[in-house]
Amino acid sequence: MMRFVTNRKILHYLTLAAGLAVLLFPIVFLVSSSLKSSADVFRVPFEPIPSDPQFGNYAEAWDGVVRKFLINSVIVALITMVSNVIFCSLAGFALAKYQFRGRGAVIGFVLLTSIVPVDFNIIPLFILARELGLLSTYTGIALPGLVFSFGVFLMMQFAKSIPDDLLEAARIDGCSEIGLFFRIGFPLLRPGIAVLAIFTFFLSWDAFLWPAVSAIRDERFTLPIGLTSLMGNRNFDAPLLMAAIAISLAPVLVLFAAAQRRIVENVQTSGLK
Amino acid sequence: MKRRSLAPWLMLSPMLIHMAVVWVYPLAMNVWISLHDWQFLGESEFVGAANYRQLAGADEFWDGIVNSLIYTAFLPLTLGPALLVAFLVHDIRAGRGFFRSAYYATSVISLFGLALVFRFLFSDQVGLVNGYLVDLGLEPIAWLTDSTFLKVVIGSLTVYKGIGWNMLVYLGALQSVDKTLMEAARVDGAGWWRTRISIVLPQIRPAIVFTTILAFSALFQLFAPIVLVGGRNSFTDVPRGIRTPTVEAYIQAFALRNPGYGSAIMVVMTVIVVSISAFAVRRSEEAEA
Repeated sequence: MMRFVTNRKILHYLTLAAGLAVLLFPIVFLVSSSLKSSADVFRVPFEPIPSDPQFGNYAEAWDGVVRKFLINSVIVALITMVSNVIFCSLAGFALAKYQFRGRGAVIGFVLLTSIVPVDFNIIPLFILARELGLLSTYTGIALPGLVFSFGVFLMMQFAKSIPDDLLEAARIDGCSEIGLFFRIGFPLLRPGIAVLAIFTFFLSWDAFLWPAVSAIRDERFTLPIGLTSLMGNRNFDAPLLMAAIAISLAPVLVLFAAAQRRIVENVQTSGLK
Repeated sequence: MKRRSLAPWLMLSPMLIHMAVVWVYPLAMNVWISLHDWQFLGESEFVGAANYRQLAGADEFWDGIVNSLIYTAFLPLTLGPALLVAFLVHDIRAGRGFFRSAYYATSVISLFGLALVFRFLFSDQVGLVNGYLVDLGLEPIAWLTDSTFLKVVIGSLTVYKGIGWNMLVYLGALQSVDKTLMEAARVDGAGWWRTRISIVLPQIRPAIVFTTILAFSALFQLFAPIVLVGGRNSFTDVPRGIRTPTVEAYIQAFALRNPGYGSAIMVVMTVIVVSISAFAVRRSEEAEA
């Protein structure tokens, strides 16, 4: 019996390791190709560790395009993060800590917006952004993602655990309602805010469709738009593009590594996406 | 008291204004635009239901719906492995945290980067996959030009992105599974698979329903992966055989300068997606009750 159990466990580990190896292969391929010369990059059989690593590819990719697009991506992501952190916390706090007429309707409404993807709205949004002069501006690119509905729900869950007694005590001490949010709510929401900030960063970093529609001048291209438009560009060969992709994936993976425990726990309990 | 009832609305107002600008206004505008031969520049002409009539008779639209349904075929290929990995990770002790994080990390990788890597891997001429096929003496496959194989590549990308996240949701659900029941089944001689299917699956049903609804709706309205993998010289240059209705709408509006028709497609898709979600939510609520 014991022997059977151990064999079962070994099979578990082998299966898990094999699955992970398959999933990690594209990343291994990316990193290793980014260090090869254009003559070697597609050679079969695949060489995971390049015999003559071309670290210069990274410098060239950085100076060539990545820096320009990365700055745009970072600015848009920061706008998105800050906006979501403030406005989702405010909304989540209001929905969790106040009983008022229309509360249920607001929650239903937020739920509805989470069902219809922003992709469906790009034509009117494009017309609107053009009228407002927001095309190819950071504000315009960030616009649809300034308040994510999942963020409102996330903050609502976190705000529920703020004790009502604490708020009531502050009220008796003469604290205003907005003061309650900034002095008690916001500080107590910090663990949720960390998760929210990271997730909105991920979403902004990866946003493709609206930036492709609204960033019409290439000096405002974010990484997904800029790098995808370089595919098939003869002046920018495969290893350089791979180096550029590797650099652009790094911030997300670094953030994930830094906060993985907290992120993983939150996704498990709340089904955050 | 008055002050207090105003406070929540004050706190909600930025969110409500944002929703009005990027959801309510565009939804209404989509309908309005769809009733016109809309011009981005210049006078638009009111044409009534003409765009909808064109849509109902257009092969591209119905082909798009069929393509959407084909993409949903990748649902079990995402959820199945995710569930298996969750079972395995839940079972082990040493390395559980590592495998959990490592698998989930693959879900976090930015879609655009992965899509470009997939385009290199599956490139018709120089890709590694075809390189190995030729090495084995087989014919290379037109992964990125043949629309059937393109759909396979796009579907694989969605599977890749989906496994880690869904696994994590299942792991969360597995934490609340009754251990004594599993133990009892084992004592009664039920094997590993048998226990998982008969004892565990029914207990994590809500998580299965939840992930199925989300994955179905994500695959049905697939957009970015199609453009990222299938786009050629420009984002709007996507082969007809892989387009979903929303991709078609995007091309109609921004490449063919026919936003009225594009908006008509978006309106129809919005109605379909909201109806499916409402139906799914009601069905799952009935099942829970």
